[in-house]
Amino acid sequence: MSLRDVGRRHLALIAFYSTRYAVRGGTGLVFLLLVLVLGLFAANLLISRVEQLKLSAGGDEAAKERLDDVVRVAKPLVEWAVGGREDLPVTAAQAREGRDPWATYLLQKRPALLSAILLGLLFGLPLVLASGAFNQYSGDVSTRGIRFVLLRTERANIYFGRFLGMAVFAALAVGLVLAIVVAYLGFALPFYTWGELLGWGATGFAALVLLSLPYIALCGWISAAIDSQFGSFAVCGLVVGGIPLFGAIGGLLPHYGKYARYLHYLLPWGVQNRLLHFEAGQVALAALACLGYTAVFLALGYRHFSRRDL
Amino acid sequence: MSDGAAVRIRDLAKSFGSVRALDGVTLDVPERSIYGLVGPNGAGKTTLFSVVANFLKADAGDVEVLGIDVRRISQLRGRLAILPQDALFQRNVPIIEQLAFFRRLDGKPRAEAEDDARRTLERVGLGSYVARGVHALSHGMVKRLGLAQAFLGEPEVILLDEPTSGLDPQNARQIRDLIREFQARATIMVSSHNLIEVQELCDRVAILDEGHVVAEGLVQDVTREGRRVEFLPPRPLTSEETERLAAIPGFRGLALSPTGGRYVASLDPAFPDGDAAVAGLLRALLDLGLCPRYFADGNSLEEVFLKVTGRRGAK
Repeated sequence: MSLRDVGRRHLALIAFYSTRYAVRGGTGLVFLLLVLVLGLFAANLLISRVEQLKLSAGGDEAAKERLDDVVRVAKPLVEWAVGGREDLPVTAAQAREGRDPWATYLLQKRPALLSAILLGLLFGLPLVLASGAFNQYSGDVSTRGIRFVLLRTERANIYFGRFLGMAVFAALAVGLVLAIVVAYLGFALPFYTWGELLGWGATGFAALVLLSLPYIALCGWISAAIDSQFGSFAVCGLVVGGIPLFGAIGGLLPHYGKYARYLHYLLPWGVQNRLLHFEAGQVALAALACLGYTAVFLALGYRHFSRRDL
Repeated sequence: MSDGAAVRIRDLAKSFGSVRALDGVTLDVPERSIYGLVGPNGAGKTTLFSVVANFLKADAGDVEVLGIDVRRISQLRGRLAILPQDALFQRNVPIIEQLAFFRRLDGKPRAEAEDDARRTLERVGLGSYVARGVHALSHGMVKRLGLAQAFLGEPEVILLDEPTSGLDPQNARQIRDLIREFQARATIMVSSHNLIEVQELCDRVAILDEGHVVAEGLVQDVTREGRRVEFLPPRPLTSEETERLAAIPGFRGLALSPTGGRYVASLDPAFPDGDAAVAGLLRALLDLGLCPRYFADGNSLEEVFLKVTGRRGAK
């Protein structure tokens, strides 16, 4: 049994049916709902504040002139997400003026609201993915339902097919959320052109899809190693959410705090925001890192799945 | 495959932690036979099936199905099928969709896969439930659904792990009939706790106990170990009749069985022609005008089972 056994037809069939079964079984629906809630909640938090500004400004024309206010709404979240990074270059002059070129890029050169929403999604999506991807294998292994397909295809097809199905489903869910958000921003708020919104929305979509891959692969690995669905759910949540949490707590320690941030690099937490960086090189590196994490988690997960008793 | 064995198992061992589930199991399952696997709970039957299907990895030993090492299980795709014990189907998905998915993995296009699935479901008596989910089926129906997935396509070897457990006699009978139908085109291995069923259904049998094969062979050979004849005359025998029957050559005596007024005559293992002795006993009974209501030659599988498993597996 090896990767040479992977067949496109079986991969596609397993991806399709596993996703379909997940939706019918409920976990897929829950995941879709969580993605929608996360995306629309993050969007609503920002858009509702902007809409209040618009009303107080007395109409659409006046609101256009108050784009700075819109940026001000998005700024705290953007600066929290990309600011204070000791590992990124900020010139002394920029630091003096409180002007971070990355934040400036996201707030001034790109639709600020959409940037803030995308950063919110980049932060929340891994946690939501943990609650959607934990059951790629564990449920069917615990019920032994997986045995019905084990004699009909390769373990490699089962493993990678289910990963693929989950990745496509996650991409569709993220795409749906972004489509709603971009459409709403385009129709309801007259601050940005459709071209700006669609272009930045497409970039954000690509970033979110890239980001979802390593987390799905990680949860797949955990799911392939733990037969209990609840156990898999708990461990996925603990690992995905625990690493930034422990990183943040560790950062408070008096002497070793500065090292705690390296914990983030165990998962893509350390690099994921750079998928929206102003330098193409940083974006490429972040994308490569996401793909690298994905490859490592997939390889480890498949190695375990292909050798274990099922 | 060299010797007409559809399944060839050699020195198979499998442990779960400190528990040795299989320990040096060796057996051959002839082609086109129905092979019974019996044993007490925890004897290793399900583990053996799971290793043959490559669900579990053996610690030692070799398993070949149709001449192919099961570690290269992909080469057996479509030729080996199994009814796994206690495996659950998707609850909320129509059963025809689940079976059609399996058939599509066998390479069939969607329409043909659905036709095959429908036909197989009709064959196991689930034709009117194709659009239902598993949650709408009874226990017996789910068992038949499991059989349908095992019979789907053209498998040459089918492993059925307790196919009739928990079924009422009517359902169990139907499933036995189905298994017999499939014998014409497939080799079937059946594990069961129902020893009468195995004796009735199978050509060969292996008795597993604590991971070891403790008896193996043709069912009639296994049950003729310590051969004896049990019969029930229409009325109790007189002492004169008893003496006359006990004097027939080839028997070591005649005893009244502890239950039901049956008589048991044990064959002398040194006697050269056991069949002649049995025929002599039957003739003598008829000469006495006693047409037996019951006449059984050989041990029941249950008796052999209890004997070789040390009476620990009594039902």
